[in-house]
Amino acid sequence: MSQRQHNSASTSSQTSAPAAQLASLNENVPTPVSAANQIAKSRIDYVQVDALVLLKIIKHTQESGGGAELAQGILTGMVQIQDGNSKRIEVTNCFGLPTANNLKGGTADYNEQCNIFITDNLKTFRHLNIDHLIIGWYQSSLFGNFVNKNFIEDHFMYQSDIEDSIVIIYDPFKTQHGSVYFKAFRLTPNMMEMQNRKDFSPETIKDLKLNHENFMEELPVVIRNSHLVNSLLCELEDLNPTPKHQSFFDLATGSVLEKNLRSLIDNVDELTVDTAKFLNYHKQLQKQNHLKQQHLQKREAENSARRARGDPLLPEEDINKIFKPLPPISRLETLLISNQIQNYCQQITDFTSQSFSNLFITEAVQNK
Amino acid sequence: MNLIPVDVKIHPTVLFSIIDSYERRNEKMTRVVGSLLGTNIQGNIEVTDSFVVPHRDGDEVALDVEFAKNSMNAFKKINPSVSIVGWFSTGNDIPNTSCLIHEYYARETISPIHLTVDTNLKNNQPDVKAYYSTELGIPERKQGTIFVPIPIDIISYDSEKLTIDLLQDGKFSNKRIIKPGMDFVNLKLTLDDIYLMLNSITEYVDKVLAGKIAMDSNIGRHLVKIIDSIPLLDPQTFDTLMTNQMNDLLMVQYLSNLVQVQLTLNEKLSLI
Repeated sequence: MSQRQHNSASTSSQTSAPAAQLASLNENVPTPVSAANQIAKSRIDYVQVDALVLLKIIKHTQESGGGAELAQGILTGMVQIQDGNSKRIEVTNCFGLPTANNLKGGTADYNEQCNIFITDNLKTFRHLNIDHLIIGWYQSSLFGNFVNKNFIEDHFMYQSDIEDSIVIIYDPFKTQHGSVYFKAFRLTPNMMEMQNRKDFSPETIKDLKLNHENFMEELPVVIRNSHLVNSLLCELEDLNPTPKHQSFFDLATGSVLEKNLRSLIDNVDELTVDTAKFLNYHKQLQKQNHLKQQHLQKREAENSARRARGDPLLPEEDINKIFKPLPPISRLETLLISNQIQNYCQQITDFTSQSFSNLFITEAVQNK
Repeated sequence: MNLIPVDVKIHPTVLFSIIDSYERRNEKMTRVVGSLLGTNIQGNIEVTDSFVVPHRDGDEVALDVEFAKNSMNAFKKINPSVSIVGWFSTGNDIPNTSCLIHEYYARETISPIHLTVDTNLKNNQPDVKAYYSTELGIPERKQGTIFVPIPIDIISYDSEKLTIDLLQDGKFSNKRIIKPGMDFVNLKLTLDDIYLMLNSITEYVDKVLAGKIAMDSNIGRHLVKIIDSIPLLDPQTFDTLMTNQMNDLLMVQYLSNLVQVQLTLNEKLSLI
């Protein structure tokens, strides 16, 4: 687990800088209408993905160790407005980002190299009439453990540069265990606001009414194919007529559940630590407030005594100088961990309901 | 001299990308050509990637070699193990100009293969064919080149296969739209499939029993194998197994619900 997070941390931090300059990249390669900037803020209804994009993401993930290593890349496509107010995002192509090892550019900075790589790729795309507007990025993730600080910060950068950015998460493990797992996410406006303020204190969270369920929104994903692709699918079926792979009939629920529970436990532990920190902070805050109060009262009492005696009053000192205000505690981690736990719970619920139906089917078959 | 390709395996991603590039070709272009990337081990070729190379067709053919080199470098950065194994073109025949392009690729790699994808659907389907070239003619006279077809295989990773299965569901719908991730619908579809298969087997067995179709011992053996593969459990054991599984699942589900409730509580409390 910690290994994983370390992994993702190192890779994520690499992409964060390219993200910072994404907007400029989009400008480098002139777009007919730089759509993202011109479309007024409106809701994104759904994300439409081409089959090619899914396959490319899968391939990239497979080739970087079957998901053991993080595969990340850029999504390109366009933003479509329908009926004036709602819009859909069409992802029509993508390309993977190289890892640091594969970029042998001597002493040059990885981020710089990455930017050059992205610009080159976009230019190539434009040359070949492929949509070359960046509309987000993708990332592979095992067991859905992608919600962490780096992820949020990366995506914040994409989304603040390019308004309509989305992130697509692909889970190779879940895909191999039955249901093809592609999900699209983006941060909600409130979360963007909080990131903008760079203030994760409990007050801000209260102010913006954020909780673990509403800082990220999931967008429905649909896959759409051209007629030609559909005819290719028919041809593929002819060329390779193996029966469908029905792994979701698997009755052995042990391993999947165990993995899910293990990560759940890890996260709950983290949450406990975080909550303890928060409680501690509260205690300190209370203690300080109490001391402040005491101090003020003492001063007040002394002053009134002096007034009675006709002595000069003690000057009012700056209370903040005596009691330094505690640095506000960040609640971002808590939010993220909560969301991650929520994710796991959802996964477990999904999985168990699926297994229940499988069990009932088995029972029915056996009874016959 | 030339290594003759024995076996060509193609990943579906390559075909999808060729189709996509054909759909995005320039106006008035009749076909799209490009490089095939992958590995070539002793004539066992696996094609994993492809990219388009802009070209000019007509009486004389011109290939943007510079562009091809740049694209190749970009691919190497993501996956250093791939190299050029051949080239593709859309269409179902091989025009004369193809020989020139093939010559270029023969300089890039030993015995390149040539893949054609018939995007014009001449036979009402996008035929995929692979060829290698060989010299033909009388020694010391004018030599010709012929393209010899090679059988191809489609191979895919498990997840690719699953995704393609998912995509298959969309080809008959009017809107050409598929929504992934609906487990129960999948389950039902699969059960329907199995039901159909069982029906056809029963029909077959009935016909054989009635003497309408000749017996086939191979099919018989397969049937016995299938029946053998079903574990025989006595009701008692099965019951225990079922109850155990159910209990496990119920408990886990209960736990996860509990955690969810705790989460909400935690959040509400910390905001007070």
